[in-house]
Amino acid sequence: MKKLTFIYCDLNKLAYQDTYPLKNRVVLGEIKKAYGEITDKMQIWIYSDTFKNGKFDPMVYPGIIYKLGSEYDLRVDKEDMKYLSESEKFRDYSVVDIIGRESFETMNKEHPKWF
Amino acid sequence: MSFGVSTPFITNLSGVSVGSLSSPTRTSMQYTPSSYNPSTLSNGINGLSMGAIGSVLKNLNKYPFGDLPDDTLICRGGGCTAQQFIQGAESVGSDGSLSGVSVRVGRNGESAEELLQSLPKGFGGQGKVINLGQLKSAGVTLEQEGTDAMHGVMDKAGPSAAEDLEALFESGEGLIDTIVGEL
Repeated sequence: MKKLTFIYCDLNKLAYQDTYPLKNRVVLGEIKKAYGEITDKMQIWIYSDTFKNGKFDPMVYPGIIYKLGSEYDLRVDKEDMKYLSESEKFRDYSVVDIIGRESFETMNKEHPKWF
Repeated sequence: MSFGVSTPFITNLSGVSVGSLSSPTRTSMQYTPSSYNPSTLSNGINGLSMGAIGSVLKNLNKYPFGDLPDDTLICRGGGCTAQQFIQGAESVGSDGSLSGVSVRVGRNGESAEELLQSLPKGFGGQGKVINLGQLKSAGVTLEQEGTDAMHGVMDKAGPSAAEDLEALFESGEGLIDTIVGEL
């Protein structure tokens, strides 16, 4: 079964506001590549680069995209945010499955103690 | 940083001391997403598209920090790789410039450890710290965003903005003298 694609969401920003503006053309391109054309109230899967007990343990959660004219906002229910290590739904997923091999290799090279 | 329509607003705020504001007095002008239902707003107001209105309101949500000393510490939670700076930016210019990269700002003289502990819980105290002088020397600009007095956003111009920010935050490792475990 094909695994889901997760889109990065910056917890440094998300934690301080109710919505997350989706204006970043790189991220919008990643969403379209993984989920197709963006439609109002589309659900996507998200990860943030979080840590637990000093180890990299991404949070995985759903987000809903709202279309506002030509712009998009992402909304998240913070109750849905779970560490990958604690997620029943994604227990068969590895860190590489969530963040991608390139991100994993970059972080593992610079900070092997995180893994 | 150019915000187009927001420039006069920023100018009008130049005489306001934001250093002591924990809850800015301009709250009524801020973008309050919980107060509307976007699904019901599709036709705009007075000829303006909702996208244009949203853009104006969001830009009004940013304003200068004021005169912070160069040794003010700046902290960003997470891995702080170039890719995360790109993906975490509010927007990426066609030349690779980044704008709207979120950070915590130690505007009250917070230590590196205090800043790391103030990060969102999910980071488990893991992040990187740099000082304002280092950012300014590298051509990074910083503004406050939203109602949290310690939430700032950085802009960095240039095709290697993401790599530059990664290198900058790596260079600040020496500012962290305490290893913080899970919070």
